[in-house]
Amino acid sequence: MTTHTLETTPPSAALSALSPEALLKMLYTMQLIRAFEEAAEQQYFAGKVHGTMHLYIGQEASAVGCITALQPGDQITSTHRGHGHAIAIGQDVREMMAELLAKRTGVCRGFGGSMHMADVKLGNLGANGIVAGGMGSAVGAALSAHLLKTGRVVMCFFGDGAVSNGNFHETLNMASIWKLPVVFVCENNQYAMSMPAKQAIPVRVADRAAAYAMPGEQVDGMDVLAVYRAAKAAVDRARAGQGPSLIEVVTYRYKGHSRSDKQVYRSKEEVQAWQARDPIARFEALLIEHGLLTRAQADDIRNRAVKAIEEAVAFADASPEPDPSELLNEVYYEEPANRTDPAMRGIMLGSPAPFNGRPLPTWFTRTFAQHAGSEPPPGERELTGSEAIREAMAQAMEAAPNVILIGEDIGKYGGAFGVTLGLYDRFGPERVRDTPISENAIAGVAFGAGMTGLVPIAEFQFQDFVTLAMEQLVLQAAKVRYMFGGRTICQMVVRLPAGSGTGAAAQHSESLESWFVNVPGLKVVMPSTPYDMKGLLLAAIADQNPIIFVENKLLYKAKGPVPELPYIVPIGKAAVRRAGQHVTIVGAGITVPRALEAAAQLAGEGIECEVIDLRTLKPYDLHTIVQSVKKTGRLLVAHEAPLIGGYGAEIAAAIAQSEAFAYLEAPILRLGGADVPIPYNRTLERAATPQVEDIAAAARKLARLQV
Amino acid sequence: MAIPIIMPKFEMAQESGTIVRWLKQVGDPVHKGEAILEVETDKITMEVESPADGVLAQVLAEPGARVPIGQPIAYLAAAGEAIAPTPSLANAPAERAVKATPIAQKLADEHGIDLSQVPGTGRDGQITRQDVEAFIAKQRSAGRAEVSGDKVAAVPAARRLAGELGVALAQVSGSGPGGRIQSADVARVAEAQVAIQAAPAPASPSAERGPAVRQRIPLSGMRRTIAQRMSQSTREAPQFNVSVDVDMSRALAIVEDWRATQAEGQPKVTLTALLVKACAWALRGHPALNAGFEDEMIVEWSDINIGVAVTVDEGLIVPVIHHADRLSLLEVAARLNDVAQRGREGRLTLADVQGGTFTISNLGMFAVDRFTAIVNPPQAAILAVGRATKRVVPADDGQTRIAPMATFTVSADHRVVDGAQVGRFLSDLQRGLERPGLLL
Repeated sequence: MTTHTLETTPPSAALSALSPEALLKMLYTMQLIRAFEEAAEQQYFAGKVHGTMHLYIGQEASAVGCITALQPGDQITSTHRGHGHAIAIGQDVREMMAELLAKRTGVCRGFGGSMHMADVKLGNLGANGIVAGGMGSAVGAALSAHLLKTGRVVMCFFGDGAVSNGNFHETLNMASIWKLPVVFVCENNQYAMSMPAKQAIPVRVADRAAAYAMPGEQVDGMDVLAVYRAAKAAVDRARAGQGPSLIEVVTYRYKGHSRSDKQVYRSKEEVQAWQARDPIARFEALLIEHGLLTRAQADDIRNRAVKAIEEAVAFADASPEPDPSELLNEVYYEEPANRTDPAMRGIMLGSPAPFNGRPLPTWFTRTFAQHAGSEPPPGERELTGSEAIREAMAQAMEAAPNVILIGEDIGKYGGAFGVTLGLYDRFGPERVRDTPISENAIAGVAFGAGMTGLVPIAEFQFQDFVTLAMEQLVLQAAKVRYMFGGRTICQMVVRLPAGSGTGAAAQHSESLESWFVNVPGLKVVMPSTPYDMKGLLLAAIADQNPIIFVENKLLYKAKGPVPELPYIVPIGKAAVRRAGQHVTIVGAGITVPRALEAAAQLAGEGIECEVIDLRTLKPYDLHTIVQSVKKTGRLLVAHEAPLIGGYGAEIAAAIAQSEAFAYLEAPILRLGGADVPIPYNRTLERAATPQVEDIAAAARKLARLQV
Repeated sequence: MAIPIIMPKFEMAQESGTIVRWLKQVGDPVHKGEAILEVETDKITMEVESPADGVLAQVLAEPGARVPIGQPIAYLAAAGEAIAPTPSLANAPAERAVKATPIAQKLADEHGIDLSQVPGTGRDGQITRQDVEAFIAKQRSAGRAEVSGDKVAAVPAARRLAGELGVALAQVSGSGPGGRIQSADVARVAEAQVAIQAAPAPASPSAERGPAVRQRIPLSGMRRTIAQRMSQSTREAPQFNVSVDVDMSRALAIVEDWRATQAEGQPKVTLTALLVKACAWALRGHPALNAGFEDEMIVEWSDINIGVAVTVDEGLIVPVIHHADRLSLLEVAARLNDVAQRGREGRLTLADVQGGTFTISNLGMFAVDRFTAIVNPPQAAILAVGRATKRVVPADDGQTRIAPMATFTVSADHRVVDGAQVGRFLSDLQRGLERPGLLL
């Protein structure tokens, strides 16, 4: 097996490749990191730091050596041990200290803490509490750089613990096949938490590069110039369009993994041996040896760094904490016009105000000069559900060059359900991007791209498969805006073909939408008509938040009128599909047409049902349901997803707690799927979820007050 | 060998007896024929005699305990003999001899119901058909709140409406599952109490058999309420009637006095007004008749609020003259005229018809000699008055004379009052009307 290595320059050449100012700046930055971490430790011992922190002491050469090789505009993703990277890229140490002390002046306004420090403007796409958690977004950012032709390089930091994680393999693979400008930097400090790298990894980390057809080099992480040399070569390679590289920086952390680590897994002697090779001392010695630094200057640099950190501590101490009233701020990006509207902030149990007169999303009006506005008349032309979804994507991609599609088999194949048919021919392989079967990376790339200027629409072939992407969706995409104090957005859409009835059995028939309803930071949309599929998808694309877009497979072939111009259906607004005064039926997705059919049957028996299509599960339109229940006094909620823990319970409870309670004539009924994996046999499959007759029976019982 | 003393049967229909007191203590010697204890049946108290010589070795039931006929209540031992103690009847769960009416038994058999699970509300705890029906309904709506104490099963919409309309939920019977009160039930009660017109249904084609139908009228509003309440009254209250003929000469004279001297703007004093006063006076002396049956208990009211049945187009309403005992005859007359008038116009309020403790129904104006009314629940008694007609009656001197006589019939709920009580009340009422000076 050949091991690719990078072409690197010899030590003396590196010294002359960098100006004395640059070299001294590197030394200062290393001292600054060291001083910051030591002060942070003191703050922790003093009890002023809530939670924990992971100190970078000993690893300074890695961050400084690597990041010096970057240019302004380049981006990094970092780890839970990310103070060093943040300082190296130039973040304000006062804001960082304030963030550690959870102050409002912190870099994330006190909302993120040590593991989530970010400064997207400076290029730090974020520290990350999840091992290998930043790797997907690094590849996504690199995809943005590639498609938007910004010339940026993305440097992705991770530790030895990450190289056995699925994310590592999926993202290196994807970066390699797409030849993206990423430099993967593994800071191998010999231990994950307590697990020695030697035990976890059967090969050298650098050797793993070969499996992904990229160069891999191992460098001495205690030698800042050696690190710089390797990093520079990799960065130049990436910027020249030659694709990604892997650098293994062999380094060491003097302190335990976190503050509560008793370090039972290594000996004091080992620590001391590494400390004897301290990178700062070595670099000082090298510079002094070459006459670029005196001892006094070296001490002065150290003192300046310490002083800067003392000022940072004073600044943080004097800063106020965030106000509890700010709790809900910045979970979601809100359109400026909506920011003063408390009804749009998360879920309110009081009924939100009606939607009339609300302005259109700015992305939508900016992108489409000619559009039909919000909920225009449907017109005569009929499309199927999948055609409507396709048209939304095509119109968005036509009007905005940064809208892209990624997913499995969406290109020439046209998607497992044919939804993307023709888009590959029309927009090409760069923008309609087939991926390998790497769900977590698909989600990670989408989230990274959505943070850095692309508007990705990621299709998961079945909703079932989104379970493989939960980490990147739930722990990253959903949270990144809030964790970063509202200082970033993530504009992405995740499309999920969902539901049962096709005989695909238990692992291809899921209805998991209520999982996402329960994740702060995500919005969940579930259209039931072709009109809504196009309008809500355009609204989801325009919404600068991560949106989960649930498509019921059985509705792809449903036909309905769809306006031709681009338009939106407002997210969070329900639709009354049928008016009636005897019983209210609330559904979403497939239960809406079933409820309408049941209502038609019951009309023959003199029972008039009011059918409400939720359209959005989160945030949902409680107001419309309240008005209806006040009129009918009877409520039935029907959804395909399993009854227990389903969102029918959310609606039932919210109604019972609302002003509609005093108008109830009967208990609120819910219908949902049985507590069973979807069976293969057709009859059993049908029996597992609410059908027309079930809805009719329940509504009839309610209307006749037999319950 | 211990000799049991059993609860004896004294009467034909007796099913149990109640221990009154023990005349002998445990350890006392007893002779055959000697009285050991007193027991009480429904009607009388009797002594129980010892069946043999011996020593009272064990007492199984204490005073107050009700024991089924034939069950041991004590044991005699021969002198010196010890007996194994049997569990005292007071401690052991009372093994009810399950008695049910035949129809209750049949119903229970049809539904596979274990009668020992059914509480009986009939005499001596006998299980009636209603008890079985209630049990079935309860089984069907298991888990639903039942009417117990002040808690009423009513949906939120009903509670809101009841609050808005001023209807007491306890007075509403529910049509929902398990007897749950729906808002429609509340609306109905409110409607009935304010006498809303019910439109007759259009004539429908006659049935295949039976006589030709002139019109079909669905029960709604007042008619439905009357049907419901009178059925309930008849079903639940065992009613009996007591009549007395009253010489109305002096009462009629009083009415005539008022008519002759009626001033402008003065309310017309009717015989009914005088009857109200007389009843109020009589009820003061007979609180047992100013009572009702609620929640399995006899309720004696301190207020005397007399309802007077008034005929209206749609049927019948019963406005109430509150505190009739404290009002003057003129005030009673004024009130009576007012509510009667408003009742005919459909303008009565809830307050007008609530709170009655006794009811009078006077059909004298319709050439009715006598009739019996149905008790107005939850009240215990109602007075039905026929017309005063000249009859030949014995005079004091052995001859005859003509006097205007009216037949007064009280119907009463035997759960609350007995015949004697009604008789005494009527006797006083008669006296009050025949010697009206007593009313002043």
